[in-house]
Amino acid sequence: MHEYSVACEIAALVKQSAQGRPVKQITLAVGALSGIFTESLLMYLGLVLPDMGMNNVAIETKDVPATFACSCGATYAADTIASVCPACGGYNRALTAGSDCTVESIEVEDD
Amino acid sequence: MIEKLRLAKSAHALNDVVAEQNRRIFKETGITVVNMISSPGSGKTSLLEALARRMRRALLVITGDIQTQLDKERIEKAGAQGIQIETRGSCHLSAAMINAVVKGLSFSGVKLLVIENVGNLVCPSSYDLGEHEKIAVLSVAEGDEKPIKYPTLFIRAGAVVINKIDLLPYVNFDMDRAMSDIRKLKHDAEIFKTSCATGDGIQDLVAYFDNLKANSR
Repeated sequence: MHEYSVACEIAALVKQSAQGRPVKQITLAVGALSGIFTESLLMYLGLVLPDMGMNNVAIETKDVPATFACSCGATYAADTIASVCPACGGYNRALTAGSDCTVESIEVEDD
Repeated sequence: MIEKLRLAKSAHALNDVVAEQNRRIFKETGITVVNMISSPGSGKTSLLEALARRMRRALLVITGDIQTQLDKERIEKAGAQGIQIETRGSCHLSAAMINAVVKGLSFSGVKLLVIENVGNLVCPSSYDLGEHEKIAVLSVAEGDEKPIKYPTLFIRAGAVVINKIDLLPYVNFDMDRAMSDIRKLKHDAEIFKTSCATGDGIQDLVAYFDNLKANSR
């Protein structure tokens, strides 16, 4: 997708959260069905973070598998967004994990 | 000393904060707000012209394009109120772009606000603008496989408008397949079939927006 836009959003969120303190590390969770390619995101973060005054920031990424919750009560993992519930064969289900890219945590330097 | 701050926030968190501000502005006015998303050329603006001829100034359209004021001009000519956002390169509208135009707006006489997003089947679907509902528009000339190929929009769209149905005799579009795939992605999506050329289905769309308004209060 548009990893450059997402990198800019992440950088702005991190900068705001750091409240003026130097950022040393960011941990990101990338959902399997978020549409985000981790490699592209890392490449753009490498460009965007220094532009915003955040240099030498280590980035850790975790992959989050997609999990669905069906109206029949079943929860299941799937690697496609158009998954069919293995318990009831239906499509009345919601994606409960793996749809988003999340900033899990950051590490900042305290004076 | 290193301090670890646990955020657990979406990458879109800052956008979502502004989306909630927009939501509060819209709630105060009592208007219904929909975010209309489709690929370029599906007929979004033509649909809005058809709505504009019926709703007149009760309809406000905020239309986003990379550049030009063309869509705003068309919508105003058809009788509705129009605001144009030129993104100058961004592939989607953001909550901040909407906030900049709606903050302080009077919304005088407006019952429905349609945000006509930048023509793009992928990126706009990830951005909450403060709307009540996302509406997907798909024209029969684009092919019946569009929903399953571009699921990120269709899993989020409360309604899907299948447009240009007057072209059905001339294109290879399997309506049953398209509708079945749409329901596999969102089982309760409302589906409308429209033609701006003949006027078919437009009144159903108007009725849907009226009901959305009633349910949103």
